[in-house]
Amino acid sequence: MSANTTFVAAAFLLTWTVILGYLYHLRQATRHARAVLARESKAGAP
Amino acid sequence: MTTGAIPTTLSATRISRWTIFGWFALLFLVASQVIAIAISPPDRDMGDLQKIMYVHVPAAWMTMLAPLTVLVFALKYLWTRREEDDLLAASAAEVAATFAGLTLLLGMIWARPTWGVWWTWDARLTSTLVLFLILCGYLALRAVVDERERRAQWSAAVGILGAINVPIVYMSVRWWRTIHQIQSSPATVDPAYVLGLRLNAIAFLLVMIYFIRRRYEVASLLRAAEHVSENAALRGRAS
Amino acid sequence: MSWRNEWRRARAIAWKDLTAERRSKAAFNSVVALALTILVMFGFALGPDTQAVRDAAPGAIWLAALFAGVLAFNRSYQMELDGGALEQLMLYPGSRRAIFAGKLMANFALVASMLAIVIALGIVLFQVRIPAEWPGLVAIVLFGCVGLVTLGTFYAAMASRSRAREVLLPLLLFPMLVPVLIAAIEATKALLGGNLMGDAGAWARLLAAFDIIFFVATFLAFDFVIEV
Repeated sequence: MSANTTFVAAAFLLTWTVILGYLYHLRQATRHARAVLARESKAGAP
Repeated sequence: MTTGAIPTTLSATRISRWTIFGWFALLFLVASQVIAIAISPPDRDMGDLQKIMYVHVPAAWMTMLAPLTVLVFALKYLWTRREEDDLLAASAAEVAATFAGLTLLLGMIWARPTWGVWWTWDARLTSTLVLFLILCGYLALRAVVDERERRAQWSAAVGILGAINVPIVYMSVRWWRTIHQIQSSPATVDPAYVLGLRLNAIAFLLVMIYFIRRRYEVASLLRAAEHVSENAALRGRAS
Repeated sequence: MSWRNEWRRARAIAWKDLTAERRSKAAFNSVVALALTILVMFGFALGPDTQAVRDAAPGAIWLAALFAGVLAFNRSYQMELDGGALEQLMLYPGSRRAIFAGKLMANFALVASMLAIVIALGIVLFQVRIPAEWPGLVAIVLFGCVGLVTLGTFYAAMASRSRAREVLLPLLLFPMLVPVLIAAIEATKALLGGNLMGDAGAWARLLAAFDIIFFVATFLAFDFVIEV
């Protein structure tokens, strides 16, 4: 049943790729958002 | 720290309750998967293939739960007209789309060795695909509408109607297949697998909650930035 | 607001839309032309084998109507958008639902007429045998048209007022139309196939149920969409 094991492995690999990938995306997005907020706050303060 | 507060502190090393929650969710997921794989015997018919169930089924359940979240927050927004509710709905939609995409791919990985084809127009798979498209439409709408109030209100209408449509789509696809006498292949769950399934379902739920929360934080930060720049512009104009 | 006033308002809006259309005929002609072209393209894609083409006829006809209808739905708001008349229209007392009802009726007249022509050509091109129960077919076409026009008019209220409207309307509308489309196409197929299993009636009732659900839902939601 080694062919089936390939599919099982693929399924788990895909799941973790998506979960970790989305987490990474969220971290980058948060970093970017914080930078934007910092920039606007600095620019806003006279 | 309240859920709706727009964070204004910029400390990068802030360890919040949510960060701890995130780590817990991730570790819980690892543990659940290890336990499930370890304790489950190979299925009579499917062999090791059964183990895909531990990611595919929880992902599918989240795919159904997330649009419900969108529905709830969209309705809440129309009631309260608070921006936080709109941002929460949008965050839930993006996370829902992610889980829907994952469910679809896992469904295909399951289908190939089971039935020999990469796709079957099975009621669940097809409904998930349509749900994915509905969510893409929702996200596209938000991308092209820039006016905040219009975007929030239109998203709420589209989100609510979209969520209502999901069970209707499921029903119609199921009848469509029955008419053409396609055998459906229900995945019945052997009691031996229930514990592993439940553990993983909870784990996926925790991860999804964490995703929505983090996505919402991003949206809040960006909104706060907009707020600041708008205020600055107003002050600049007034002075 | 009394129902009679609402009805009168809706009728006025429908009349306005249809009259403007009757004078210029721009939208109707282009929509029909597009639908027929799409139908012919389907013929090339699926044919020339008679049986294959005859089997695919219901699907091809409904899809051609759907793709061409998208054009009609966006255009139904065009007049108000061009003249900035939408804000004016909303200043009048009375609910926005009358606007929705009016546009619905106008669009229904347009799309039903277009469908009639498309079906006629479809019967010819795809060598469809007209069944004895053709009145039932007319009913199914009308039911399907109601569902199509209801959802199309609703989503066009948003798409027509945003950027990328040509992409946004299909993207929003098509997934929502899946139940209506499946029911309409299956009912059409069943009737054209002689209704051996009696499925046509079941699908027709399902289609009617979908129409009611979406009609009510869009009516309730329209206020939120048009006022902002």
